[in-house]
Amino acid sequence: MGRAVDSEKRRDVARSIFRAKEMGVLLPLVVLVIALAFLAQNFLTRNNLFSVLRAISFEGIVSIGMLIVMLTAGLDLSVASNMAFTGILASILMTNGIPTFPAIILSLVGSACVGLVNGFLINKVKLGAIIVTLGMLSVIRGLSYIVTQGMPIVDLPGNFTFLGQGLIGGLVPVPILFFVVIAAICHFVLKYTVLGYHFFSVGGNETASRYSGINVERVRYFSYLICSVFAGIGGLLLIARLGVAQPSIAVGYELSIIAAVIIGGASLQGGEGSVLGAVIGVLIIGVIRNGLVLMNIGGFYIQFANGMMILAAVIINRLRGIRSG
Amino acid sequence: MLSLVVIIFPKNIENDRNSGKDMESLIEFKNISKSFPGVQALKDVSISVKRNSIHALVGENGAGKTTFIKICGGIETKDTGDIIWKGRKVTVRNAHDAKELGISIVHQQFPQCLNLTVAQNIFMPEFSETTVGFLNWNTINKRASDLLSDFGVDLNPAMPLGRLAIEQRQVIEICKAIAMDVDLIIMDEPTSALPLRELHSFFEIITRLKKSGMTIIYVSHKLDEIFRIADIITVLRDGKEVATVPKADTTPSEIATAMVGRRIEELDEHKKRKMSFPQQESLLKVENLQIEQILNGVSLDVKFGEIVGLAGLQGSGCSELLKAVFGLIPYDDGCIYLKGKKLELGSSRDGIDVGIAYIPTDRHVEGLNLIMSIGENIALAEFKKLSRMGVIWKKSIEKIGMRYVEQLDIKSQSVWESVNYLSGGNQQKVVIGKWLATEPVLLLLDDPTRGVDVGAKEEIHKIIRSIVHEGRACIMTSSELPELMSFCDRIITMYRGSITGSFRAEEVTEDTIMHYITGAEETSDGR
Repeated sequence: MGRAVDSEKRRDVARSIFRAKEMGVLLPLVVLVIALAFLAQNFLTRNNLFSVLRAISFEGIVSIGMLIVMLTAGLDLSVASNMAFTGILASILMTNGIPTFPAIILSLVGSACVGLVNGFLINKVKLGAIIVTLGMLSVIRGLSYIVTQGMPIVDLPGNFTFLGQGLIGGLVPVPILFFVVIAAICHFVLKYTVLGYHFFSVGGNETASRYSGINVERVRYFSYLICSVFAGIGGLLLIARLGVAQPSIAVGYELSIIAAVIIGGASLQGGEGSVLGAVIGVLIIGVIRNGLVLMNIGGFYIQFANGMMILAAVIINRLRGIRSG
Repeated sequence: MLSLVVIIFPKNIENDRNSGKDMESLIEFKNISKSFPGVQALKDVSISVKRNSIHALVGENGAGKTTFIKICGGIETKDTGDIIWKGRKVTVRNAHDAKELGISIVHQQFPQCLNLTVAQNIFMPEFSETTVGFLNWNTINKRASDLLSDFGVDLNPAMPLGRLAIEQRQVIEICKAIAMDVDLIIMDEPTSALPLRELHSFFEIITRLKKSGMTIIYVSHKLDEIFRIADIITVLRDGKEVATVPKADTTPSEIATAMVGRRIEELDEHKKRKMSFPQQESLLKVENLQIEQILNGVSLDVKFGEIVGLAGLQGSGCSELLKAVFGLIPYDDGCIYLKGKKLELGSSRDGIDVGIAYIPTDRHVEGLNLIMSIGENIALAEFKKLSRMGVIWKKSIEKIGMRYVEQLDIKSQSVWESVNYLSGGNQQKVVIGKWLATEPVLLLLDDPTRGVDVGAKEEIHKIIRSIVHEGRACIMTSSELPELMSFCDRIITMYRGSITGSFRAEEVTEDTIMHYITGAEETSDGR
């Protein structure tokens, strides 16, 4: 009797796993990995896999922030500039004698301010998200160039660069840990908290949310704030990894980040998407990039492959009856 | 799994509601005025709603009902006047304030999150207060499921709302209002989307709500409904309150007179109907139309000058039949002939080109571009014809817009006014104008008067009739059987994708039709 119920339950779980929207993108990822295992010699080595994971961690963290903004039917084009901006800010603070930890917190406050300004212009001045964040993209990138005069900042403290270069247990790179923890927390927040539910409802139907008494503006502030802070964290880790703070880092990352989120099943109209999907999206982009490098196919093809992936993902979602970008 | 969850169960409200002060006002509106650019929506409206009563609010197109509701719910703010809630003057600035006081609204054009589940929609207001907190969906789904079964609906609360039919979504909207622990529910045309067979259980719920001490402001154009459930009736006309009377002291025809300020000559209209003489020649012929799981072998024949009503409940295939004839949805088998010519319809463009017009049910989603002006909306289906080498001149939009604004008596300042500010009836007229501009020979109307009041309905009927008189034909559906009975020449009944009967309207009773659309009679040929 009990066993019958158990197997019934197990079948339900299996069914719900198979039905999950993420399956649509998980399959291509699996296919890709299997294909690369055969095509590229060094692909399935421990070192290579960890280096792929580390390489995607920076964009991965930011893509989760982007997912949250996109859930509310918004968009943040300023994330890549914000990565550089926050990294530069922290580096300036650290090279001027401020200890690592306070410097990190202060620079994240800086990135949060960017998010608040975005949110303010979108909520209160009622400007479109694309215009506002496009402007912000240039403003903070420009700021980063101005304060550094275009010169890289070197001599970052060792306890800072450890965040990007260090290994846990001599094996797992630190950025991966950040990525996994942030993804796990956000997955939980989106699925089981009121805030997460508000992101979905505002993106699903703003009017319905407002009529139900949801403070739509506040939800939107939260989304841009979270996105900017995650961009800041991603930027800090990236600079820690590189060991040098250049104002030109992460240029154009916003596009591959948005691409990853869309590949993961999110919709530009809002209300659709998941952390798991975004993570898989980032993985797909990272694996393709790595595979092309391993197979000695030039970097020029990477962008082409990214683009094809976006189109393929949107088409798959359309066929599965999910509205997409 | 998550035991941290705290769910606020409805407080025990019975006691303090029924504590003796029965006849006192729950909410009083004093001299409420509101104007929009170019329109005085409400002028000095004073209404007092008694505790534990069903207070009906009726009025024509643009009489100010919707504005009034929005002010109650904090979606619009009043210009002047006071709202007295339980003897205390209050300000309602937003939906949150209204909910805090204990007021909830069931909106007519109910906005919902189609990406979320049934339960997530129902409890949206409950989880709107804070941003912090955890949710246990198992418990919430359980509560939703209890609420739904109270309402007599068997739905999976974890199902995305987007998969439900519009009438099921309306039920969800009502559940949403009930789920909020409130003292006053304002319902704006709540039955407009409900199919006939849901009506009975809906009224039962209303009665049960009242018994439990709830106060309801019931906004509707449907006088039969109002006389069935209301205690007190207030009539609004042109933004002014013209009458407030207990139901017992009035009659439907008195109320109708007060609403339009003139007597509606329903009987005359009925006589006039018999003056339309369908010709022998058939305009549209449908043979054995099949769409998998939707239509199984539908044949019908519509003559020039005929108005045919399609009667059927949800799932009968009435709307789908109209869409297939227009070319919006493809059919698997069968033929459609217009004026004896076989049609090959691939898209709505093909439908338009051969002279078919399809006017959809949901004017906000399928019918109008709310951002555009009246003129642009009217010209929309005909941009190609209006343009010269791909360029469209404002003048030609204005010309065509003016023509239909005048012909259909659309109340507006100019053709460049946004349709967003128009009342429901006037919006529907814009949709009709848009399709008249394509100069169709066959009109397919999918519930054209849904959510439109008596006066506008009469006007729309008149318009349709005059079009059909000019040698065209019309097939329509309606969520109200009496409308089909009084307006159409012939009624075709459908049940589960098949035609079950065809009747001359004057020779059949509502009971018989009901019999045929509920599947009580066997399928027969529709000709």
